[in-house]
Amino acid sequence: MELHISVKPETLWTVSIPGTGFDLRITNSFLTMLLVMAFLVIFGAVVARSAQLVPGRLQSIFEMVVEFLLGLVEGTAGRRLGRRIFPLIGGLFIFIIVANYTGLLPGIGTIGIWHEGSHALVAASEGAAGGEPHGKTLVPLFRPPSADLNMTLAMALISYVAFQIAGLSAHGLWGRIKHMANPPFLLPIEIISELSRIVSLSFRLFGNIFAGETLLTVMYGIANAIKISVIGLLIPVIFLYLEVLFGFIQALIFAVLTLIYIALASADGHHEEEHESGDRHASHHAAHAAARSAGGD
Amino acid sequence: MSGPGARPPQGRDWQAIGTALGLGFSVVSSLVLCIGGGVLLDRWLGTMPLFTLAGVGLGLATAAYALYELARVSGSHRNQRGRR
Repeated sequence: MELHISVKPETLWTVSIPGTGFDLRITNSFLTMLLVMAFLVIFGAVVARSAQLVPGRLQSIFEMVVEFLLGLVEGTAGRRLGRRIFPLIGGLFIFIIVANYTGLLPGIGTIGIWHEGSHALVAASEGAAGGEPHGKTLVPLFRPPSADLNMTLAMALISYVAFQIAGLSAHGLWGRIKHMANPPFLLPIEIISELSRIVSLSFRLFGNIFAGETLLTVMYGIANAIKISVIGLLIPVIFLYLEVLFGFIQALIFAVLTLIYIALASADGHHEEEHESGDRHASHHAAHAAARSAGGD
Repeated sequence: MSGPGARPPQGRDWQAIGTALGLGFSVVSSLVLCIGGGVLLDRWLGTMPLFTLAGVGLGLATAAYALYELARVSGSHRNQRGRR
């Protein structure tokens, strides 16, 4: 049995940008990301345009997702701030969950093009890979975008910029520094905490999804090698269920942590929210405390 | 196990779940950042193991601070439930 696993995404095509001397490398994860974005834009537009006062089945599912996210965001950040940052948090959650689930679709990681000596995330038993040309490896045409560190790092940077902007707009530059240095000896720890959020957000998502993809690849390989069709079907199914769970959890963690970081950065900048009701008051304090906690991590 | 009075997770519960699940990576990342930064500084300045040790200390302090804050939040969640 032969397994090829590549941590970095494989380049499918290289497009040179005229006048700059730079080459744009179209990787399989980039291609999948474009498809995910196109799917979400088209699907969202269709649902939004056909929205009716009495929702149909598709619209109901969409509204359930949006209501769950809106409840989560408003419950943590308060009504005003929650409504302002909802498009970012909702967009992050929906994009990441769809990107995570692309790895479960048939054809992802198995449909590809033959390249000389490349390594790909592909499992093949000796018997099954009978048609494999000598010295060539199948480079998958599609790869889950979250299994590429470039994408998760970019998303973590977006999250970082968002909570820095939220903090600066709530407190101003000096106010933000004072907010972080309270008490003053915590300033270096706060700075390290904020920088480590980029590392933790990006590596958590990448690590979990890449590990899941690798596990599935190994399980497909084992299932292929066993040659008993029932066991061959059962082994990957268990892990596919687990991946469905992990895909949701990782999308939720990324969105919730971004939300908490934003709530932390802009805490004390929206006092009026606290006086809406007694329950809202308690909720805001819990969010603030949670935000302080996440600030520590 | 869900008892007879169990209710589905709400917004704040999801927030707590997300924070708790994400904490492991956050602790490790602050340690890696501090120790890695210390090792790089030591290599650059030729002061091995001064900054590496300082990085270990700072990383542990940051990780401990994160854990302390989570414990505080869990306590505040429990207290609020108790009050209701």
